[in-house]
Amino acid sequence: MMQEIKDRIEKVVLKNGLVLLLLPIPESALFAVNLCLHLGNLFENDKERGISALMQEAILKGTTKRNTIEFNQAVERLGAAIRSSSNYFTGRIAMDGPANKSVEILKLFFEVIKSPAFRKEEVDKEKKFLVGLLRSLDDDPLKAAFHRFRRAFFGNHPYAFPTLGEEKSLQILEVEEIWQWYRKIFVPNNMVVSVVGNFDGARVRKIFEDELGGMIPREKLRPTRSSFFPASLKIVDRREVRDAWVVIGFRAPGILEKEERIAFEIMNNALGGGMYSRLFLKIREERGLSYQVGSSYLPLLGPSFICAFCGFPFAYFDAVVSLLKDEFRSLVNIDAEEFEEAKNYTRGIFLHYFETVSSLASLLSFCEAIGLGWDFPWQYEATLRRFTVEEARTIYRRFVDQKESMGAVVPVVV
Amino acid sequence: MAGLTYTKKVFPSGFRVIHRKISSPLVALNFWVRVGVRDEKPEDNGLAHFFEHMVFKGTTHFPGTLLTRKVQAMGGELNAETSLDTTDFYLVVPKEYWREALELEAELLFHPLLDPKDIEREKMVVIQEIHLDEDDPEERLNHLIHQKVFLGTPYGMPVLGREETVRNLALEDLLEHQRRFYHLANMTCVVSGDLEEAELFSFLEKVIDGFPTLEQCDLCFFPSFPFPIRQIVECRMDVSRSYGAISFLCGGIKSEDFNVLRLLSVILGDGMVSRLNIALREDQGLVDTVHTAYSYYERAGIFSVFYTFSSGSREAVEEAVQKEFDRLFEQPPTQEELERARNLLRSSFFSVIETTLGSAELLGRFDMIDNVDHALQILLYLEHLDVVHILEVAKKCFDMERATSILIGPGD
Repeated sequence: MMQEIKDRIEKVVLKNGLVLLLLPIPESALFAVNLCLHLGNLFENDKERGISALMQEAILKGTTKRNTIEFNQAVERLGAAIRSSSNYFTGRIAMDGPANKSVEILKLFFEVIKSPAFRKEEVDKEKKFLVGLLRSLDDDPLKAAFHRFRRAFFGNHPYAFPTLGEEKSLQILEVEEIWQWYRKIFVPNNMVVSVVGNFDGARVRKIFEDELGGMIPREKLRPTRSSFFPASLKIVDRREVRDAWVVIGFRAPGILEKEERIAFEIMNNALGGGMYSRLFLKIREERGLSYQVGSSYLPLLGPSFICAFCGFPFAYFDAVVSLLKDEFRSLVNIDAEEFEEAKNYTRGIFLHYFETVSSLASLLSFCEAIGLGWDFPWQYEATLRRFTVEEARTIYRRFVDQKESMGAVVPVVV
Repeated sequence: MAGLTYTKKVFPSGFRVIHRKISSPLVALNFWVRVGVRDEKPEDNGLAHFFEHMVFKGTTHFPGTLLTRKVQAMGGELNAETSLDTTDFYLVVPKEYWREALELEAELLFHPLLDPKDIEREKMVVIQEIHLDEDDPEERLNHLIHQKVFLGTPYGMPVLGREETVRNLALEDLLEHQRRFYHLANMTCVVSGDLEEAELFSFLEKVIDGFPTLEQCDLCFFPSFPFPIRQIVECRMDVSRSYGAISFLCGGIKSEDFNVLRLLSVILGDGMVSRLNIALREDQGLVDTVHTAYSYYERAGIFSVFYTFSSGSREAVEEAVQKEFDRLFEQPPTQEELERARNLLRSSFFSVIETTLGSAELLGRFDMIDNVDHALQILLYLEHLDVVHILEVAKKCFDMERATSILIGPGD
């Protein structure tokens, strides 16, 4: 099935640099289109912090042809959904809906990309919304601990800040700055679009050539910062919560380091990826100290991290921190059997991407946009299968001896 | 609606198997047990959920963590959920492992060890889970809604139980729970994936051979729902914005209002152009977010309007919501609004059945608490709903004099 999907994919590069990936799945009742662009934290300077998030919120709030309500009425009337997002180094415009409405969905997709309105009242409304959202990030104690960890690890690197930006920079962003940002980001040579589902490939290709073939390429944005050294800080705040939450981690391979990244994904799953992971067994099964414990590896463009997280009674703070650190270290000695099991688990999780048209569309455009190539998922599976425990240990050893960073939220009253 | 098919087989023991063929590299194996909070007494509240935790703590043939290790080694995702009416266990595996996975999941359900040492340790874990929910404003809001709207009935008790009831659970409670509910006649197994039906059914027959069965009976007394009264609950947490809900007691999955309430939820509060979003967020700026949700169970349901705001007041939001309810009668949903709601529900349905697990959960839930045929007939029902019927249901359900309002706001 996997090979069959790969064989159906067609890559088209328009003259202006826009990359189009077409994957027809005639048996599907659904249709998905997904645009991936470089934007987000990595490309913003201090004054621009949050501009990608604000642009992506405001872009769905009407076009030059229709106001917010009229535009979204047209989308929802089809039974379709449209989403936009911005993250650390990429952003998306994604639409999905019934396959028999694919042409209408594409029309609306082009309308939003080519003719956003960025009306002042809508931009101000979304600014207020983002500020509220930013303030509420700490309302969830686990997210609050993660937020502190990111600051402790990234220091003053752009990745240290929430992807929503910062309140002070958001408040002073003007509509004209959003327009300038849009003109820099929405250029054809910064666009990878994937189309997945039940559609006519030749027809869709022609529509794209007609609609987006005339866009003019421009110089692509460059990251605002290239050098990085982990800050290795410890940030602990007190809150009115029942239990303590801690996140500890250190530097890990970036997303473009293909082999290293796959090794770390396997090691991460052995460490804290499921019900038989080391952290789950040591902290939850053997000691009953936590309900939610695990690890997370976030490969980014450039500096990246692996971290362990846990919620537990504050009385065990030192014991849990020590256990997390010990498990990071002892993972160096993972044996072949455990490694094979973690590999299989990693593959099982990966296969979920192949179940829906929107997850496939998202995967294809992302891999192509960031330079891994649209066919990376198939390389991934092959590399995963042939990786040996010795190779993974060697890679892991290169990272594990660093000083860790920590973010935590602990109860006010003990 | 090509492709919306499934096969159901009932074994002589009463055990039900449902198969949906779907093209995927994965297979979902989803066992449903007809037991939930509704079967608990106040003094053993949390028992169904605690038992669900305990089955993961080792089995007769795979003590300790051997079973979870085997599952993980085949690339499987194993988890479970306890709700008001049911407990379900799912295992999603690469399709080449479906036979082993099915044997393991059956082992998990029918041969848990229930070691007393594990029971004591797991109590600590569940109490942690209770704390975690108390620290999360959205979870806490949801608990309060259920507690207040379903007050005086088993549905009003928390799924996780309370700290003191969890601490008091004993091995005997678990064994009795297992005897009463974990038998073949009280279960449905849904398998969704690219499998041959005949092979699946004959394999399952071998797997369950010799497993216990009892007559399925509904022994638990379930009291009537109290006549709803106006309730307002406001509480403080260490949060930076307010999380609120206005909730109404209404019919459940078997109710004739079921499909209308789903449609009303989309018209009022699902999507950018839903009536409440336009009025409260886009036009009046009263809220940061607003949406509706219809939670349906076997015996009843709750229709809620959820909202958040950074600065504002509950009273102002409720006044605006009331106006929108009134407007439903002054300006009934137009054909365009109905078409939008039907199309969104249709797309959402196709998205759910696109995945192996989504299909299995949909079919399993309907088979347990309603009728599995209804799961795939939802779209047909929607076509026949008219405005008069919709307004009748709205009038019956959305009475602010009978609403439960909850607001969780920032502390001083």
